[in-house]
Amino acid sequence: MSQNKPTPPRTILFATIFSKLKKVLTYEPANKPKPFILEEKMNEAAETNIEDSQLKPKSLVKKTTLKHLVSQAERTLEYSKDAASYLEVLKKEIIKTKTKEDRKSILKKINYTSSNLKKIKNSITQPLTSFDNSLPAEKRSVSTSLSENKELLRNLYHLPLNTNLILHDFVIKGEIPLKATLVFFDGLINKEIINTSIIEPLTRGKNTLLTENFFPENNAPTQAALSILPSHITKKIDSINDVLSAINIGDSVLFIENSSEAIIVETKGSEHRSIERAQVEQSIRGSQAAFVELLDVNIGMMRNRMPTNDLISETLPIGDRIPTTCSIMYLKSLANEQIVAEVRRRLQGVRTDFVADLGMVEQFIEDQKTIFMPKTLQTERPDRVASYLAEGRIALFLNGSPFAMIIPVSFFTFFQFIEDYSMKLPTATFTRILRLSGMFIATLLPGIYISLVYFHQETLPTNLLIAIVNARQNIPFPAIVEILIMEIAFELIREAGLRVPGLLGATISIVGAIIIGQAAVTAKLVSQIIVVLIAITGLASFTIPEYRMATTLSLIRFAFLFFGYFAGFVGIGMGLFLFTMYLCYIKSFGISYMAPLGAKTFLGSDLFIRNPVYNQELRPDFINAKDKRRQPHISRTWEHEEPVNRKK
Amino acid sequence: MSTLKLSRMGLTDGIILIVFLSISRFFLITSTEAIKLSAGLAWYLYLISTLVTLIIGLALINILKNFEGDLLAMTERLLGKSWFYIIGIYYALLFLSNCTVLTRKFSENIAQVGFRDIDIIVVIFLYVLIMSISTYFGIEVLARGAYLLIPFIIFLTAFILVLIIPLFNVHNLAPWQGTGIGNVTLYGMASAGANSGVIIIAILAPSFQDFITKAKSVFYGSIIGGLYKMTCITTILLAIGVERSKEMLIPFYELASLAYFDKSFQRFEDLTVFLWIFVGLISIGVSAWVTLYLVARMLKLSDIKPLIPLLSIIVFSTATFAENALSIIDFDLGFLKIYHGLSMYVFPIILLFMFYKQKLKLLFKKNSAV
Repeated sequence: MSQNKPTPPRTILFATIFSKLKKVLTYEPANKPKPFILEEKMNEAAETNIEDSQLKPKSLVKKTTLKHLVSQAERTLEYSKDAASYLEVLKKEIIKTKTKEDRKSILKKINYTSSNLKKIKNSITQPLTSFDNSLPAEKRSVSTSLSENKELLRNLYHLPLNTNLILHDFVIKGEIPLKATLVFFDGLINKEIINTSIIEPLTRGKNTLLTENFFPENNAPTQAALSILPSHITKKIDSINDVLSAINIGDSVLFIENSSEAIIVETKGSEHRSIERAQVEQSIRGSQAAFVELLDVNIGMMRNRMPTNDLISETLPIGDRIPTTCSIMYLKSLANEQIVAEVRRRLQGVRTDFVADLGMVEQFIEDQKTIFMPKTLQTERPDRVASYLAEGRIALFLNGSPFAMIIPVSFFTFFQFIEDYSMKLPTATFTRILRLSGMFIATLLPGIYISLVYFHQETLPTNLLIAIVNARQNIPFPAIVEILIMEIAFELIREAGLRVPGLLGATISIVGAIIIGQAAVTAKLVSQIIVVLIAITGLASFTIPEYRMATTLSLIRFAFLFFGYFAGFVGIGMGLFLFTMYLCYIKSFGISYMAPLGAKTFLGSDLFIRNPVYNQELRPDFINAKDKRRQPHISRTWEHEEPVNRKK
Repeated sequence: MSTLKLSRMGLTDGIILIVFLSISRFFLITSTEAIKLSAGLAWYLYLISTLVTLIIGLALINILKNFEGDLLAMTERLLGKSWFYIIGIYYALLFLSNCTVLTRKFSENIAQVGFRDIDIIVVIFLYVLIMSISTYFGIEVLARGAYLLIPFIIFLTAFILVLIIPLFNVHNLAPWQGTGIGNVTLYGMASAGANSGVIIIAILAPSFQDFITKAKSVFYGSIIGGLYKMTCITTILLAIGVERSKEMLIPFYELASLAYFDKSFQRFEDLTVFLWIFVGLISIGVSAWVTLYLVARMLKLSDIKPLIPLLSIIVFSTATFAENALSIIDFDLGFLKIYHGLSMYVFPIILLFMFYKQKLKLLFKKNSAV
């Protein structure tokens, strides 16, 4: 009776308040591991950890299975000894033979012996397959039985539901013809490679190897096929997991009867977007190419741009159910190993079904997850990635994303652009200062206007004050509502312009802005001065080269608008103070977000003023690259040499 | 030993913390008080107080280099456990009072200029709220933030001072000897307590890399802070004159109100609000953090964060305790002047004396053994 009585809401409320209060009063610091903060001095701990983790054996095999394997090995040894003794006997008898009858009797003996050996061989391989069968399908080895392999793949890919997986059966010609199956995904492969480099050589060419090896060793069929196939696109594998990975990324896998190994043939050739001009980060003087959705193409573009063996590109899958290949790219001689190891650790520690975009990866691996400022830079330009890699930073690529993620970054990285390096000091510095001013305008202008109108009218020049008063005379709304109307309209136009495809989007942006602005003034919803103000604010926000940073600052603009509305300069000042503290609190992969200003490190000559390239001798200090020097003190050495026509 | 971990700080952080703690009171009534005491020689008063700060600060850092740890650890080694607590409590109260008085005085100024219709309690509440948030972020973030905000402070100050130049009258500095060099020297020495923020380097000593960093922090921090105050006070004297300056209640604001560029650009006094907010909030935040650090250090606590709400309540209550602005000014100029003075003179000198006494003892022992 009373047991079923629901707890009254007041009791729940009381309990909640009590538990919260208790939590505050009995506060204990969370027992979390220390956050990653990059140390100035390199220690070898990180290196040792990586090596340890790499060397660590996978304890998949239990003790019992180990015993089983040992017994198998013993049997294999016996089999080899038997085979060797039989061969020795046969050799002696062949030498003795003189007549046809002798040869016939020897042939009989050979057939008898080979059938015996086959039986022994099967007795060895059979238990291994049965042992494998108890493991999950992905962890099994390739079976010597072709039909078993095919059955396994059919089950794993849910055939016939999955119509794209092709299992093409054929026979490899030779003295002893071998059954083979080529497995691939239709739509992911290059059909021409399949036909000309795999099917044709294997079916039309004659396999001499098989006739010579009368007693084929376990993987002789694989060797025979490999000798026919082009060697640079093939690779032997023996685990089903590797088979699945290869098929999933567009390679083909060749299974051959009686072979416990399969052959991966590189046949990737899915349709993809060709390399096009950068759409988001357009540049006038820099390179025009942009990344595409295919990881291999993107890595190829980077290798093409940075042809050095120092460029490392580690790949690892992210996503437990649907693994997506991610690549960590860095220059071995420059990138700080602690950061590389930390990035690798974080990526390996991501547990999720699927990651669709680099933005998702960022959220999984960033420091201080609740902070909304972008802590990595995403770019679609290979030249920009190359310049950051050359500074000692790290780039992350994800298959399916036409962007690269640069880590670590500071707040000021978002206001640098590749074009700055192509220009001379005055123009590059001017552009950079313009962008930073754009940042301040985009964030503060509406808030400052509201503060001036509501709290600090005396600061405005009299003429301007009169102009504002006159413009606002017939407007029915207070200034804050005017600004909000225009701000929201502007954001709507911007978003619509982005979503509507092609030229229509740009047209909507421009026409929409003009028409809405004009109509709003005519309808006396807003004053002209507000239209001008919002237009300047919008233009300023477009000068920020990184889209995510521009969007974040737009959001912060609203906060400053309300600070200004509620408390004038006091509100703006307090907001600025808090925002500055907040920025100083953020870390990007252990590096202070406001570096090189706060924490103060060597400023270099690439922050507000962008010095000529020949003066930029050192890399950014806060990245802690292995080699701090970019170029010698005298980089224009020719100036210290005799001109060609004066050389003796 | 407290398990509270201090973050690493560098030379810039050290300098900036000292500069902000030493200039914060300049924006309040203390500059008027300095003019009252020394007339045309107010700059000299600041010079003397800066030199005294420099000497004491460097002496303290110099003896600290012979010990591992911070000021309290050194005190424990030299004077014993009870002095560890006495000095710890004394300096914790010093920073707490600094925090409270600055909160109240900056709130008064803000309310007077920016929030004329709003109750002072609301402004104090805002200040305390932001103080809590910045204390949560920690001393490292406060120092870095201060470094980022200093260009705005320098720009705003320089902007106002440059626009004041047309109003300069050299005769305003007369009488040249102020209230007498001897008197002003004594006043300067007495007012060195206003720069007691320099002690922060000794309190946070383990944060700094080495002796050189600490010594340079004290040196440059005191010099920059002193130069800032001397420049500003000289500008006030040159533009306004001694007699009128003595009547100023919000000196820098009143100075800024005289700045004039042309008919389109004038009335810049509201910009001083930004100065008060940046300088005030950083000084208050740093003082609050150091108070909590000292408490955590004495009570061997592993984190200061749970103490932040408690400190906020204390600061809010004590800041609203004074009836009006004048009573808090009187309190600051009276009791706190002595309290801050003691912190600058008495304890460092005791420590210095004890250190050299022990050193002499050791030397004597060595000689007698030989």
